[in-house]
Amino acid sequence: MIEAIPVGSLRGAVPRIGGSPWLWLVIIVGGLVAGWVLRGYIAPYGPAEVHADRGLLPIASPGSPLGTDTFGRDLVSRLLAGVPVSIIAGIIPAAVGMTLGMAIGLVSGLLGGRVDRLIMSLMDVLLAFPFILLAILAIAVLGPSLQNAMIAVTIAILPRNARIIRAEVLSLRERDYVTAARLAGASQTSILWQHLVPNVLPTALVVGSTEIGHMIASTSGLSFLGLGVQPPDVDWGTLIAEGSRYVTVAPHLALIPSVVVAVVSLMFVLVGDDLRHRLSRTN
Amino acid sequence: MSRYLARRGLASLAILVGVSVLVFAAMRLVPGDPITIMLGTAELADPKFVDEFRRSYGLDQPIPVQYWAWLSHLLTGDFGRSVVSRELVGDLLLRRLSATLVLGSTAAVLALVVGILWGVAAAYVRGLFGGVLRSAPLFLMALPSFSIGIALGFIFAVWLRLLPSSGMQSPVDGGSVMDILRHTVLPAVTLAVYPSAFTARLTQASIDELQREDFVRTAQASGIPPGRITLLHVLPNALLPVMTNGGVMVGYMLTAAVFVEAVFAWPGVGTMMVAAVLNRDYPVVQAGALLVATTFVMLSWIIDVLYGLVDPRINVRGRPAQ
Repeated sequence: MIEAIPVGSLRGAVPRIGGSPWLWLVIIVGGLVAGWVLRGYIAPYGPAEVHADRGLLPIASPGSPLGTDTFGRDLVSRLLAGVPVSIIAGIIPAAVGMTLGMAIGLVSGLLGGRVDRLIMSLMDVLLAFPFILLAILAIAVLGPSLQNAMIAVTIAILPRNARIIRAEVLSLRERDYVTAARLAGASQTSILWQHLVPNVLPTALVVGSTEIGHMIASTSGLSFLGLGVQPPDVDWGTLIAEGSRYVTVAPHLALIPSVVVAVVSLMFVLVGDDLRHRLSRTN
Repeated sequence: MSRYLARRGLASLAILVGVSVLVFAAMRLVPGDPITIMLGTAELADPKFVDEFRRSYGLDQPIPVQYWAWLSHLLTGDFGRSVVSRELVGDLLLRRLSATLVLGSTAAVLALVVGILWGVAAAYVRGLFGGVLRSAPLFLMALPSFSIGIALGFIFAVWLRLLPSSGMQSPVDGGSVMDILRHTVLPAVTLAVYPSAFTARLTQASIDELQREDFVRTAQASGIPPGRITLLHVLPNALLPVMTNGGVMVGYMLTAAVFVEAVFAWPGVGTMMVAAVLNRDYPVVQAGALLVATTFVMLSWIIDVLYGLVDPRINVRGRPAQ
């Protein structure tokens, strides 16, 4: 998911029958959030409510439209309980990872020389670990939990972000207006804030928003592996993990949450891609 | 050329040293003393025993000395023993690595074959089907590998009952070829989805670009049949980006393999790492992390070397020409 450096663009390639990806994002994510807000009305059974007499109900059962797990816990209710967790676990690591990546990339690119070499060798060492391995290593140190899974994916995405921003800074640094500012006696700090930060922001925004989708998939993935959210707490990843134990008797228990993760992360990737197009057109 | 190789080799070596320092440091950051992890509570109650234990393991030495001792053990292939199973970590790694290699190499071959054919088809087929061939890779690349795995498992193992979705044994533990093959199909296809979509996309994009090149136009003007132009003039050049992006692809596959192994209960390095983290089996965690990172760095180096061999535009200063 993460090593995904998008090649080209989805736009133009995608038949535009679907309309704007923003509309779809609003419909799908908005629908999920609305469902979570109204969960008391939609799903009368709470996400952790155990009903021994309602175990493994099939799809379209009264009171539980998507059925229940072995403990009789309602799948709709559990999916909705996972909404805020999974979305926050996508947005926060993407935002923090991009902010830190920007800070590192800007400092490294602006100062150059030894500092740049030192920082970039460190990033190279981090990049020697495939994304998930770096996250797993971080969790090995921190211990498995939702918060630590979010920290872990932030660390794992950091070297990539820092490299992207640094490359951007290196090209910006050679622009005439930056040279002009430097010749006019502008300090490094003012070049940083006046010229570099505003100009790397669009890139940061595009990369960061595309990463939201990857982060949702990654934190859910870590929960699926048992390294993120710990039962009895719920997110989509834990639902997949629990559901996959009953694949033969009730395959929908794993299938539905994994489709939800796929659709939601796809929506964020599409929106990030659309953002890239809009910004590259205006620049 | 040899200078380029040496330069890249040295850079990879430097990264590997960095990797070993990072893994060593990470294992030191784990809450709790290594002693408390290794000893039982009864033994911990005796301070004299703890001191002796600490000395016998060299844990009273300064950190750089400990690092050096640790590294020299690793270099001789001594990874210690699993805290959980008391098995030699080296043996465990070998068993798990063989399973991951079977999965990874099958998926890689599958991905290259499917991806290149797909890319060529996407570049030349017109109409609605061509449009689908062009856009599908971008959707597939955005899907999490575990979702793909669960969906495929549902279709082929639960619904159609054609293929098993778990029960793979480590290849070194035996099992007939047919049995291994049957168990490999679903995980390998799942793992191959992203890299084949990526390869298809790269191939198609570079064919699109090459179509406008002078040498292709010249070939067309001299009356060479289109099929021959595609096969002999366009395709070899179109495959170059697939090769240069090989590192990205390997990195992705190593990440996806962890999820694919978990979905299909594959006894590989990924499931080993996850279990080791959950069991706080740190010797296995550190050996696994080192193994995967080293594999990744080495594969990237090999790809660089191949790239240098294939593309003669590598100049003597050791940088690829623009």
